[in-house]
Amino acid sequence: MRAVYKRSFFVLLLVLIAVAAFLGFRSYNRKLPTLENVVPRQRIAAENLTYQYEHDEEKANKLFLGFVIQVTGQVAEISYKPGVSCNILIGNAADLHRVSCILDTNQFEKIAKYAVGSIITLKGYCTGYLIDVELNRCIIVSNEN
Amino acid sequence: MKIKHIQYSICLVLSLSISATVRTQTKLYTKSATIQFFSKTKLENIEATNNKVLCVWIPDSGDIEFAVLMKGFVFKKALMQEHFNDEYVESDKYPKVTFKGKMEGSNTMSFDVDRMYNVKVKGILNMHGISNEVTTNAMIRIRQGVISAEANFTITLSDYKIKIPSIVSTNISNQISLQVAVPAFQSL
Repeated sequence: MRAVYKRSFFVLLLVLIAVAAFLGFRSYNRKLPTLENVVPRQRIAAENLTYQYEHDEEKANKLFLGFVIQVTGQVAEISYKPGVSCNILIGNAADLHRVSCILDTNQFEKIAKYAVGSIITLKGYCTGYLIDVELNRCIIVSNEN
Repeated sequence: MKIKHIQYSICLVLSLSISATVRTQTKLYTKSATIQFFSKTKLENIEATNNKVLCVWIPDSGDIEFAVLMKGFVFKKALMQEHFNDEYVESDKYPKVTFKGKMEGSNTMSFDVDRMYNVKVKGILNMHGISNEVTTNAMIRIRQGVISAEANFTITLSDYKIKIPSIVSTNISNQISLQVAVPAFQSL
């Protein structure tokens, strides 16, 4: 009877070790998730976002840096290298500071619907502010033409 | 005749000074330079890329500046990216890396002819709140009017007080190789 308990204990231990190893391996090799199902921390107009960064970068970083935010504005520029990369600048074409969005690769097909002057809503991960407010891994939320 | 000669001289001096001013004020920039870093480890090589690096260069003075957002580095694995931002570079506290320096021989370059220049760049790299002097060789390439640049150098993490947790310190190198590439400068 004791031997049966002992054997069951070892089997259970092996199963636990195998599960832990599997979870550890999966966590270690995890890719960055798409932002498709992420609820944005804030929804904001592109002009408002750049205004906040222009006036107080430190304060704006506390609100937006490292968070997923949803931005709406006018497309000022599209730089698309098919299959490689796509960057969309949102804001007034005449402004020095705008919102610069790197599109997630799975969004490239949607870019054909947009042109300079279109209104676009994007969700992206805010990495901070250089000349523009920078968003990475962006997902197109809607076309509000 | 004499008046005409004086007028011509004034015009010449003015045009020379205007062109000198224009040349002095020429600024080149890009918002899409790339920095890749690489670290060889026993477990696995660690590499990341940032494609949104800002660079401004004034050829006549040789002044050159870079600004990089730490959260803009993309890793193949999410866990590596999280550890990089949260535990190593503390990117919430120190979101930017900047470099301000001088490029030697920058004012003698001609951008009208296709050729390459090997130059030395020296300046101050500020990362993780710490500033250190960095000197590196760089290559400027002019091809059909497109000006591009490349540089490779190595930094030591401990110089910037970036601590590697003891549990992985034997597996992660203190030396990081950086590759900087500017595909095309634009005029500002």
